[in-house]
Amino acid sequence: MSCIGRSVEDVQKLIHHAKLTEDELMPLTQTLEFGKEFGEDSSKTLLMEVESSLLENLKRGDKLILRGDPDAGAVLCTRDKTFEVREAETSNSMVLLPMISLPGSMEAKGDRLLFHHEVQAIHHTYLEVRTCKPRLQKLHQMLNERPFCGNENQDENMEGERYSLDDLLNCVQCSEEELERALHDIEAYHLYGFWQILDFDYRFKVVSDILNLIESKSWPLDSVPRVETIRTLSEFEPRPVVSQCFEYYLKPIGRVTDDGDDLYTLHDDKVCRLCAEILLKPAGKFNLREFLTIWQQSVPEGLTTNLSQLEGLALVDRSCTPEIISHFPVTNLTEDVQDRFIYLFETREKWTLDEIRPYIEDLASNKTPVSAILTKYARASTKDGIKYYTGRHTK
Amino acid sequence: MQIPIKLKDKDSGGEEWCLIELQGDLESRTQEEMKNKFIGDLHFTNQGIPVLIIGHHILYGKVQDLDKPFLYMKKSSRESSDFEEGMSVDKSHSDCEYVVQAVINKKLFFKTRPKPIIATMKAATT
Repeated sequence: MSCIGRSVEDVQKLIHHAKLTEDELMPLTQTLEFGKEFGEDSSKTLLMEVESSLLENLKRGDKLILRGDPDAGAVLCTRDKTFEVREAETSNSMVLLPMISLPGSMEAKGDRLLFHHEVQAIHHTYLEVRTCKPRLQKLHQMLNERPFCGNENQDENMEGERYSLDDLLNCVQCSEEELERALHDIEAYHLYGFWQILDFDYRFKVVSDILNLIESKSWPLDSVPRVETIRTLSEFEPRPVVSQCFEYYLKPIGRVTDDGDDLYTLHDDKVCRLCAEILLKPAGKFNLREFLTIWQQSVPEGLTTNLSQLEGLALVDRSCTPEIISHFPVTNLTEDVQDRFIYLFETREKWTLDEIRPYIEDLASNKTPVSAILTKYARASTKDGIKYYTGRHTK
Repeated sequence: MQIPIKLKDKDSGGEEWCLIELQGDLESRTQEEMKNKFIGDLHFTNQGIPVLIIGHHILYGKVQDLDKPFLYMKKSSRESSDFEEGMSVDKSHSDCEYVVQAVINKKLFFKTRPKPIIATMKAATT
């Protein structure tokens, strides 16, 4: 096996030379040499430190995928988790070789034996992986390129790409499960093989169609038949749009009509939120008192509006007269924590915890809760018994 | 771009390798090609302490179980087409993948600086 031709005598000589005695050493000596192919594919090999659970996943046959653009850092994804990948450098040499014999599996007595091992590679860097949050900003960007505006408005020459699930997975740095959850959270629609969001006005139109139908049929808000609604409205809008919109804005109550049609009830908060956004978006700012009146009038009878439904969508400024509400959606903010805080404190100097929480919650995780993020990026002070957060570097 | 990571041999989970971590670098005094060159002798004392003799240096280390295993992976192309090209042009899966050649769960860590073996001593005393 070895090309070195090292003999037992050579080894024994070196033992004495090093002022060791053979008695204190186990009889197996393992000689190390550089392998025949040492250094040949060093540009093609990687050493990656992973959690044992990732290795178990791999052994079970689960997919493990490095994902990302060549110019951005890569992430490692399992079916359901995302890990940040970073290169770590060490001044030590990491010498790699096939498994050697260890004391537990060795004969303790006997004549000196030699065994040769070939070192395959030496690395000074390795990749570390750490659990991270899915990086979804790219997803928002991609879906905003070409929102769906209804069939008659869907010009083939429209600018902007449409993306299939696989296209999204190629660009968005998160696991498949996280992507599916994110698509659901941002109310994306699977239309003709592509994932798209609905143009805001168009989305409001489809929801209004559903609300108007409920009203015209005099159905109670908590007993809306699914199949009948979708069948009726599919005459006006594409069926996949109507059926997915129905699922986003209503939820099953677990009962059926006499004909076997599933009964659904409105997601009150979501409907109220959408009605608020249609008022706030074009106006930007609103007199709070006027807004609250118009908003309540705009929602279907039986629903109750409440400012808590607008978390992460609108900001209320009670410091000015008259009080003002403005459109300030968290979805428009950057994912970069530092930049986000700069922008938040530019928008408003002082925030209470309840005010700022909706704009930070999406950055938080189990390991770094909202309170930890605030401690790091904001300064807390108390005035008149109320705790406020201000920028770290403001006066 | 997506690059899948696969095990070379799904059933066995891949070869088990070992890592020897040393301070500094292994260099040839003459800067010649390292291939097929002898590095040193590895012994274990009766107490199980690894002893590595490299050139005129002796190192004492310890055997450690790694909390997190290392995967030793090699990039290979899945098709014959040029990989660099595939990166920028191809929107779908990239043409390459990483194949896990070996899994490393143990290391011999030689943390301390090597001690020199003073060769002249022997000559002087004999």
